[in-house]
Amino acid sequence: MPNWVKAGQVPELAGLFGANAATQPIHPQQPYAPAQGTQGNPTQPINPGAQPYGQPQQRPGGFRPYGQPQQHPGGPQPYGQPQQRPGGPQPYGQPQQRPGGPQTYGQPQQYGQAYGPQQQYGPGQGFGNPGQPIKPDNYLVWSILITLFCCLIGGIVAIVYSSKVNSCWDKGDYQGAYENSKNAKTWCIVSVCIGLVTNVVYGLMMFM
Amino acid sequence: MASTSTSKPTQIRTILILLAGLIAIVVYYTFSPEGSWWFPKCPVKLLTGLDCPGCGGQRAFHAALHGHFAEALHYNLFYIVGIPFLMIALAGALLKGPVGQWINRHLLTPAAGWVFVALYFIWFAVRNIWNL
Repeated sequence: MPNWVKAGQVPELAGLFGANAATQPIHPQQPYAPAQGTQGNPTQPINPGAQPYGQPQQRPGGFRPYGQPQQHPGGPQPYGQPQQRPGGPQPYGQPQQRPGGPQTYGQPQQYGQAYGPQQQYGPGQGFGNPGQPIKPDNYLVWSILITLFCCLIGGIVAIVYSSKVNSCWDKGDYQGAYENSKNAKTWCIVSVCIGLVTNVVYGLMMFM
Repeated sequence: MASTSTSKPTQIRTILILLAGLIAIVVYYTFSPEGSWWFPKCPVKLLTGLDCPGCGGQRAFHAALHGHFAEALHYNLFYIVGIPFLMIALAGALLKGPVGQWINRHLLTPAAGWVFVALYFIWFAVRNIWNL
């Protein structure tokens, strides 16, 4: 893709981009634009393979980052790299870039990277995604059974973790859901083990 | 997600769980935890001498299986809170349709978990202070 130019310099898009740049909500980002030279963004157009991985790092910054739309607001991009970036043609990319960007493209990547940023995107993020993973078991029934019927006080910790699984999942915090599920399971098992050991020791003491 | 085909290990697990539940019901119906030495004891009771919030649960279950619900509540009053919570959790885990989703989203929240924990410890204190 050797013929990269700024959209403002493309005759067909100049009017569109020029007019749009003034009305973009992302306009305040422009002060960051000069810093992009050090962010590696200029290589994006000629290095499409690297970009999907570069994107998650920019995402936590959210919408502040780096004035991407200004950087390469279209130019030849609509044909060359359609999936590279939702904000390719700037006028259309803008709405996608905020909630939709992470939703559609970032979903598989969320497992490979830091998980914190997902919580910023609010509810509904993961719905309708074809690659959605399976919701983890919340072990709530087991936790309650262990706590109430087996007299195991560790089960109460499992209940706390269990009750967080669903809400984490609904928020799109899949990693949090899996971790809470795992913790709940661990606490259930630990509680049962403590109960078994205590009872076995007690039984032995009774017979000796 | 509403209609997930159950795989074979899941079916086996379900059958085993149901079987264990059935055995437990038969055992708790037939034998009274009061007079039998081999029922599991509460570790909290054994270690500290205090009644834990779940203590009396086995006796209560035995009584409830025989239809003596007042007696069951006498053994453990906390089941007024615990059994409905367990039923809701069970419904949330088993119902896959919109009802189950609604239960999971609106009833089985972290707040519900914390309320249960708070009631649990209040009951823990109350029953040991007033010997309930």
